Amino acid sequence: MSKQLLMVLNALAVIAVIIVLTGCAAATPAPAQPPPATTQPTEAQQAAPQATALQPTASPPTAAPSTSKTPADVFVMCVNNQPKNIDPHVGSSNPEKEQQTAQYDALLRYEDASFTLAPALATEWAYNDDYSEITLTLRDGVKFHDGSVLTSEVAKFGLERAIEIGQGESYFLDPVKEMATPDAGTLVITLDGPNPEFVYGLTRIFIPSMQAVKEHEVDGDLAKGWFAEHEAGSGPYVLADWVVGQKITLKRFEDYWGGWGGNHMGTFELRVVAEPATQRLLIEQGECDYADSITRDDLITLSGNPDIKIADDVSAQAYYIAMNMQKGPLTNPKLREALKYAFDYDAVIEQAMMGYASKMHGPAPSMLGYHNSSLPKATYDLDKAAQLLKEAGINPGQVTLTLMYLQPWVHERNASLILQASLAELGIKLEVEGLPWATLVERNGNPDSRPDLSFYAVYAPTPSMHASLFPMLHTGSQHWSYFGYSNPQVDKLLDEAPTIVDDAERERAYMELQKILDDDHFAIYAFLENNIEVFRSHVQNYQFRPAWSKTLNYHGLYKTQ
Amino acid sequence: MAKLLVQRAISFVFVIFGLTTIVFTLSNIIPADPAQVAAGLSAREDQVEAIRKEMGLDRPLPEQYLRYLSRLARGDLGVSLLTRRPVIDDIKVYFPATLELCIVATLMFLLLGIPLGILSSITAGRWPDLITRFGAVIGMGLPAFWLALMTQVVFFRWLGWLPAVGRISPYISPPDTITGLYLVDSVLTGNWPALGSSARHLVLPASVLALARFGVTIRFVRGGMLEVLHSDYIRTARAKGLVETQVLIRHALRNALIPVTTMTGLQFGWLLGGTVLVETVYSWPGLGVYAVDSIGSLDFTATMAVALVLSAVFVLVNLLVDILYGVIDPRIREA
Repeated sequence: MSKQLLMVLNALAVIAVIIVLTGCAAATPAPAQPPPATTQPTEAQQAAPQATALQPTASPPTAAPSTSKTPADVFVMCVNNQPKNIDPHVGSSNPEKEQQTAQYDALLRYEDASFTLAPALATEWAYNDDYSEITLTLRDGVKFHDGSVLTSEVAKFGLERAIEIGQGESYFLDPVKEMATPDAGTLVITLDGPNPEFVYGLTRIFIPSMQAVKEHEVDGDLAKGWFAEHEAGSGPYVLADWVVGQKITLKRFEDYWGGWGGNHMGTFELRVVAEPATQRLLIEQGECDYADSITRDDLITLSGNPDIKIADDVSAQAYYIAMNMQKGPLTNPKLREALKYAFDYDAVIEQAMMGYASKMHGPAPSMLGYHNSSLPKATYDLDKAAQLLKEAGINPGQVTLTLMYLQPWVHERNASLILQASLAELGIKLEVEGLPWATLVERNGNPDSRPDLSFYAVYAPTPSMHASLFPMLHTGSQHWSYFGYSNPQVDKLLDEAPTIVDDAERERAYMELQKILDDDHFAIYAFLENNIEVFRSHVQNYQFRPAWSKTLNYHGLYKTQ
Repeated sequence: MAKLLVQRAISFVFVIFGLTTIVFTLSNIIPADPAQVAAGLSAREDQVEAIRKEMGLDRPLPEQYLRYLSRLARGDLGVSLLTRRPVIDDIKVYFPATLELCIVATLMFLLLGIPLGILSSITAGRWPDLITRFGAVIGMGLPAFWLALMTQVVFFRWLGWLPAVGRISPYISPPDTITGLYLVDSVLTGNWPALGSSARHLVLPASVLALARFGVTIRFVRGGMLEVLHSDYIRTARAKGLVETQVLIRHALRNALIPVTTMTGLQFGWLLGGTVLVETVYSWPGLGVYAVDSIGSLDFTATMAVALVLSAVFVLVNLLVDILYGVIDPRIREA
């Protein structure tokens, strides 16, 4: 090879490097907001954010014509992960719910943010007089994707399968004693006692095709093997293609009982794009219609872009910082109370959540029924905290606490750092550690490795706070280990409240429950996260449903152009 | 040569055996419960126990190990704790993606590194050499993750020349799977649109991976060449009147290539295991993201399988390197 050619190659290599370097210099990086060095809130911070956070604003009213590159009949979604197991009675993580809500139906549903029960596979429902039995009338003419039809036997079989497998949200069916199918269109569920709240749970359990379960059953596994990767639902979209690790294609089911009159999408394509910066690039260039992992920093920049529409809804997505009351310094209730005053709620909402959150007053979000608004409000007051510490007999430098948060979640990390700074002022050292989800759950499940403080996020699957509080706080329940909280009074209230038939009595029970929990200082009520969804501006008719946060209303969405 | 192959085959078996022991031991030391993971992290006690029995995790460890080895001998890498698919199916999907990326990246850094290394050696001390080495160090110093994001901004967003994500355009079906390498499969099935699209999608991720490594190749080629360029036989070759190119390539480079080959083999192995950041940015469905995802979700079977596959491939690559020595240097062949 001649010397000249080598020189040319050399020059090209150097030029390439220079292009890259100038690319770096010229590109405008998203401004990263570092957590503040001190956490004394300015007056502006304290006064302003509440209003913006509580406004359930939608996007700019007119849909600007966009330079979108996605086909008109395909809704392209950038998702950061693919599901592992889409079995409707097993898979319960978000990517799995994203599939299940498109492919399956439950007996009842919540269509919008009002938490009003609406018909789905059942058109009518009625309790008997003492609320111990519920009779459902099933919808006529519902077809499953495999051609079989819905009958009461199929519905019963579906619910029984959920109970038998016992994973995911099957605990909603715990009150079921027996089920009867007096005719093909009627299902009667008998409960083990009065339970006026049971009906809410029927929005959470999907009904698969009984024919498909029987056809693919292997060694009595209830077809779990098959349903992990395939579906046989009655929902609006069918799983048409799954290129592992790359994309999932959902195509519309022509015989869907909800019909296709009006505007609908023919195809949804969920493409795996793990990196938030890349998702942002793609949605800005119009290569996708929806991106699920845009960071809060990027939201600030994107909200000024006429091609992008941001849906910002007040939700019931509650973030707690659970306090380990089983061992360690936090067994001292005054210390726990002090921590609630040491958390800078406003700074966290402004700095960690970029304003996309609101304060949570009390152990349950105010959107849910029977919220006790007479409890003390979440207040940041370092003096009060210091006083409580003194009363607790704790001196500065005496206590070290550990906190764990979910590693990819920058907002949790930033909130932790803000807390760390506040506690430093009180002479308490806070060690902060971010862990991947599975490890976090593992560590929290083990009393020896559980940290003092742990972030815990939950959204309300039903309008009753029982659904979110029971798994957290009832002794021995699923996520109980996060809090390690055990109070027989609370257990009793959690067991009994949903079964109280008289409305006023039930309200009293829930009010008392919230008061006891608050007096016990079981957690810091960090914030209520707004539900944010990022779309191209030509996407229409997105409807936020708090019970199904972070999933889309597939059947209702459409694009204009 | 045959003797070499036999020796290597035997040592391969021993290496794999050793690896399985290490991997198996490690995954049982880690304080997390595979049965809990498989049952679902919020499952009840009785469900976890049922799964534990079903998966044979309640058996004594030595028995579990023997069962593991016997399954391995049949090519059964186990079943993913989370998806319940056989892990081998997942590996068949994810591994070729990484392999293709690494092969193309290796070819790139060789095609870039060897000529530049030669240039560097013949202009040693003068400005072409200095600029080349400077470029090499910059390439090695720039973090791959950052570089990946920057190339997306420059080549996708600003210039619109190349795609940002994926192995192939979403509007073109991947070629029928024969090897799992899209370039190869496209050619074998005559699927030209797929070939074009896959090639375009490979440019950015492979370049980023190559850029981080060509510096090493340059330095090794340069070093090797410098060692031989002043030798007597090179002077003889020139004296014989050979064209400079022949002198450089047939005589000098060939001798300089031995250390380069070793280094390339090692670099390829490191590449295989080090693609996760680049794969994440480019949404490349490769073994890197699969491995990190499995580790993060405590899917032990998948993690162990990935460790084994990568180690096995690394060993095979080094075997290939040893064979290549024989091709390059006749003295080794005859030994």
